[in-house]
Amino acid sequence: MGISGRDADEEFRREARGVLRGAAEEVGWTPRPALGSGDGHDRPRRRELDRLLAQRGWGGIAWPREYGGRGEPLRRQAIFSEELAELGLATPYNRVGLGIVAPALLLHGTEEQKRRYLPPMQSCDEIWCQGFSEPEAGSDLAALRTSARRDGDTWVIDGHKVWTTLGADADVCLLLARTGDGPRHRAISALIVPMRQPEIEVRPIRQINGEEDFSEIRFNWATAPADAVVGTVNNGWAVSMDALAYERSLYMQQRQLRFAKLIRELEAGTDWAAAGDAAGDAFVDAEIAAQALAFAAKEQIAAMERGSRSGVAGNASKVLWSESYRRLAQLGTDLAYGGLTSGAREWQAEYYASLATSIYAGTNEIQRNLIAERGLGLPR
Amino acid sequence: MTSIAHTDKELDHAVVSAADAMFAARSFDLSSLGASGFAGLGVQESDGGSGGMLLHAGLVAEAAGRQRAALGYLQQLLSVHAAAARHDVDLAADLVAGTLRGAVCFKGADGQLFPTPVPLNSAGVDTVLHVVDADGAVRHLVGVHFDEDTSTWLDPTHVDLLPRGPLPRPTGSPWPTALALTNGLVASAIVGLVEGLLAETVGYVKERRQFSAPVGSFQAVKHSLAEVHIDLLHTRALAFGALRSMDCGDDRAERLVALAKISADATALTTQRCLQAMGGIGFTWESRVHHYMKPALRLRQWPQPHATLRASVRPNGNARPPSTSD
Repeated sequence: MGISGRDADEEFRREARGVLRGAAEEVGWTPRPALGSGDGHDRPRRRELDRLLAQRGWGGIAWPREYGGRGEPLRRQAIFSEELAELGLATPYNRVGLGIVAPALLLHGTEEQKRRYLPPMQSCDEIWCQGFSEPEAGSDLAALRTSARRDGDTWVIDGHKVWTTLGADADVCLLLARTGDGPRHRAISALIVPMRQPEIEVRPIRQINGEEDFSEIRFNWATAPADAVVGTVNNGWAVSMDALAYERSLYMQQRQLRFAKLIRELEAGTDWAAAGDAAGDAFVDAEIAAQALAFAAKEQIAAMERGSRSGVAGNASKVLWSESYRRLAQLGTDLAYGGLTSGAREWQAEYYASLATSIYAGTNEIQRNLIAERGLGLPR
Repeated sequence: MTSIAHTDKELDHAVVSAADAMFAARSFDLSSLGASGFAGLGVQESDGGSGGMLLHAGLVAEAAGRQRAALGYLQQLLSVHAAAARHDVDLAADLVAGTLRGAVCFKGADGQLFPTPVPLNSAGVDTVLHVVDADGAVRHLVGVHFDEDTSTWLDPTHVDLLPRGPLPRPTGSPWPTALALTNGLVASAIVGLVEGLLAETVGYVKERRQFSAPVGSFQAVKHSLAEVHIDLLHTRALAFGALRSMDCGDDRAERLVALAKISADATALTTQRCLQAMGGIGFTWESRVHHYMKPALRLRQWPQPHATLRASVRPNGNARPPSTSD
């Protein structure tokens, strides 16, 4: 399922494929099915692979060269992601940093911040988390209460974050904190906070699928240096919105590629003659969703390359992907337990994992509100 | 049509703007359609067409849908392609110019003609009808009169076929892309129809007030119409991606346009959400809801019945690989 047919892009694809396969072989990563190899799979080896790719100049495909990237257009980052997906590599090890924090830094960070933080992010020497949601501020993120106040040369941070992906692994956090007394959205700043300090307590949260992707984090008068603000003080809302927009584009594309690979694996490994028409139709619906998401992603990336926004297309794709993934996982589970395909435990695990997808990165209810209000112009 | 001298996006935008303006001003009118050359899109000029890409034909079909002129445009456009497939350059040119009206209908594997949508007010109008066999062979019949009762839906048992021109050759001419092309263009037209209806619905719910608020401010209404928008965005992306694949000669194109058509068939059903949002008014004859909904639902069954298309794309039976874990 290729993003572009242009000759230069295809040449890039061939080169990327060769580099990836060579690096994967060096670290002992064998191509594997998407089923059973999600984000949590073989993370030490994934980190090693990402580090090796960064050393060889293949860490930040679309990043500017001065920050360790290749300076390629965004569509080639998408092509690279397609080749990663073929090897069974889902999202990168440092996925919060690369998918969410890096865009925020590239758009809003100072030169010093970019040079300090982007290279070790790419090499996986510093792992990132994002401190956004709180127990009382989930969908209503602007209601956050974590505070940061200036005390001499430091920021002092007090508060409580939850649903922090990679919180237990993180070295650095992009934190949203209240830094003023003004209107809700205008009194928030984005700060870079070092995580390895005793004033920060991290408690992993066990999920229904037994994994611990998220943590809650307590900041008990933790500190950050004076130059920790990304963008300007009290302008953190704009930083966070840009970061989340990127989460719904290239980062989401990686999720969609995995979804497409699951579909191909299910197609190849199922006794469809015995499965019946209803199952066949459900499969085709999943295939339709995957193809539509792929073409929509291409349009969104092309819009980003032109410097224009694609409106609510990213929000819409998030909804379609999450709900289609859940239906696919249910189909796979039903077929597997019916003896018509293999991997019953794996498909059941996919189903449990899918239940989070309509909640994270903005619940699907919030996405529908945004689509209605910003996409259709309906009144708030 | 001018040659493609602009960047892709510029030409796309120019085509859409011109099509929107034309259909909005005169709806489906053969003379204005003829002057635009839009009916010949995707057919080379040497074959009697207007040049351009199938993608552009899809964009015009979408615009025709928005302006409720989809059926007439699709039939005229596909007739040109059918004539070109038969290497009948003169007929193709006449159809492009709008001096003749055209229609295409398809046969199933059992030889039965599928019901075919035709534009309103076609009764008594001489129409060149192309019939496409299940094996892709295309024959044409000149001078078809539609029974008044079937002015919007061609039922073969009511058609009085009056061949006036040369009789078709017994074996017909191959048009291997007939179904694929029709699937892709119909998908684009359905997108346009639902876009048009959604726009009118949004306008209505912004104005209609109940409980001292616009009904469009209620979350249930917002979410329902958001579902329509989500569906439209993705069906549109798939339809135009599939047409681009046909333009590029991608070997996945036939399946992609079939998937796009199935997706559009589902999009046609989202018109129910728009009707629901408009309440009782949406259910009345005077409302324009049915001007969009009915063509969309007819196109759901064309060029093949929806159930037939669904059955044709289901995965084939095959053996399972050795199990990895159970």
